[in-house]
Amino acid sequence: MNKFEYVNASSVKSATEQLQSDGSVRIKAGGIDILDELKERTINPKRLVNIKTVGGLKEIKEVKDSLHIGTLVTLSELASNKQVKTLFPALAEAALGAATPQIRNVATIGGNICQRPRCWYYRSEEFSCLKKGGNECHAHLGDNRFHAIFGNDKCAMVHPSATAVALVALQAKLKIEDTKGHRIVEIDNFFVKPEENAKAENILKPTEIITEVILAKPAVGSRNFYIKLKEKQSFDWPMADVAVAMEMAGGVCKAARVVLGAAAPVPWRAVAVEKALVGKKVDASVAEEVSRLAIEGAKPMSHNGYKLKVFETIVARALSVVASGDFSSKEGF
Amino acid sequence: MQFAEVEVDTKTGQVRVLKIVAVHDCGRPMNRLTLRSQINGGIIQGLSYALFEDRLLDPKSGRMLNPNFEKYKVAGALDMPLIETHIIDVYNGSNNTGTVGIGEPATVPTAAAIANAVYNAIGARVYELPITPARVLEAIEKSKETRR
Ligand SMILES: Cc1cc2nc3c(=O)[nH]c(=O)nc-3n(C[C@H](O)[C@H](O)[C@H](O)COP(=O)(O)OP(=O)(O)OC[C@H]3O[C@@H](n4cnc5c(N)ncnc54)[C@H](O)[C@@H]3O)c2cc1C
Repeated sequence: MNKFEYVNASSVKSATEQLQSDGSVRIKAGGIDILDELKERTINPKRLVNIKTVGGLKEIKEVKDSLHIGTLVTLSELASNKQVKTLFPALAEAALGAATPQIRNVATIGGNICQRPRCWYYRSEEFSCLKKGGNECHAHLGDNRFHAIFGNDKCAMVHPSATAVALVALQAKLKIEDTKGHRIVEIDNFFVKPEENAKAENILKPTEIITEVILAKPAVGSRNFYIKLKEKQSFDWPMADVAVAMEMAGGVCKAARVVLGAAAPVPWRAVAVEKALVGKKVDASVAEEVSRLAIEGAKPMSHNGYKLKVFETIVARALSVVASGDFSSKEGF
Repeated sequence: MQFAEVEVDTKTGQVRVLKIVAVHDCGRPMNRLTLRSQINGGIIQGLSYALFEDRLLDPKSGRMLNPNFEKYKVAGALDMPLIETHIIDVYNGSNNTGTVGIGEPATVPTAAAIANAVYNAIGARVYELPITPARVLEAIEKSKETRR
């Protein structure tokens, strides 16, 4: 780890005022991810600005028909908050399924969305990859068992954030601030593919911070859920995860969002499944039938072909749970 | 001797060990509590070896890809089965206290018992450790082909 300065910010203004457009000053929220990055020397900032000392960013507030989640709300709080659990079980489940209890008590929603890739080539000092200014993705000819099956032509990382998968399904908006003011960005426009910018995973400028995640309350008849599959039952990154949000009338699907995690460099919408669901009365057999479309267009690599079967399975299971509305009916471990 | 009971999700390849029954000849037990603890520990390690632990090297450069406890997978509390131990007291007079070791013997049969239980559950053999979901799915797929 190299030397750096550490500053506690007292307000959003005092935090953003310190940020530099060259990225030499970095935000620290829970610090789980950024500490790893410092130790692994994937980043080398001259200053860290701690925003945990900023007031007003730790609340979950109801504003008209929306829930405003402060960026410092921890994964544990998301998982146990009554409103989040009732309105957005997908988000509560995603938060609950991530990392370990100790980490969830510290890790924030903003930090979870902005965390950097966990690709072992990116995280190792010994490889210089596209993300670090190198000129190749080592996963293509290397060990890619946990890498992407979609959108993997340039860089085969999978986006690491579990909450992002749920938030894309729930069509969240992000409030982003800098010294000049704020902007509201739809989450569909937040993440960027490696083809657009291999060095970053989202549109955030080095001078900006996320202050809120905004979720519109779901329409009547809407349901959402999230499922994560891992090799181990104790903490593990997902082999595959999926979030589903479905709007239904009389058991018939009016609109759906199906988002795959651990599948691509960004949370990946299974658009073919979404389309096929519309107008159908969804039950277990329809769920199974449309789940085959989840892997349409997938390009598995040498070590990750197993993910095809796994994604089909969890998409079918998640759709069945959402259609039945009985979250305890989930199949599998 | 050890016995394993497992559950396999044949659509995801995940394996969960439900129960291990361990029967060990440990010479003359000096302290039954520490002896049982030693067997429990051996089984935990054996389970971890059977299902998770793997030192992964980059095929091109030979560098280790999982040199930390986030990426190198070790079994945790939620992966633990019910463990039932049976201690067989045997005094065979081969040394002046009658004791024999148990540390290593308790880890040795676990992976084989789990692998056999997986075979019993899915009707296909996984010949390599760890028994990952990818390998289980592959074994199931192969056995379907040969049955056709
Ligand atoms: C063993 C282990 C297992 C894990 N398993 C999972 C898992 O299964 N699923 C999962 O989703 N995650 C998992 N994680 C990752 C963990 O959840 C994230 O590292 C954590 O959520 C990051 O949040 P933080 O508040 O600590 O972020 P920090 O480390 O403080 O920040 C992370 C990044 O986001 C930036 N940042 C933080 N807040 C803001 C903001 N408000 N505006 C702009 N930029 C910001 C920082 O500059 C930094 O680059 C795991 C981590 C570990 C160590």
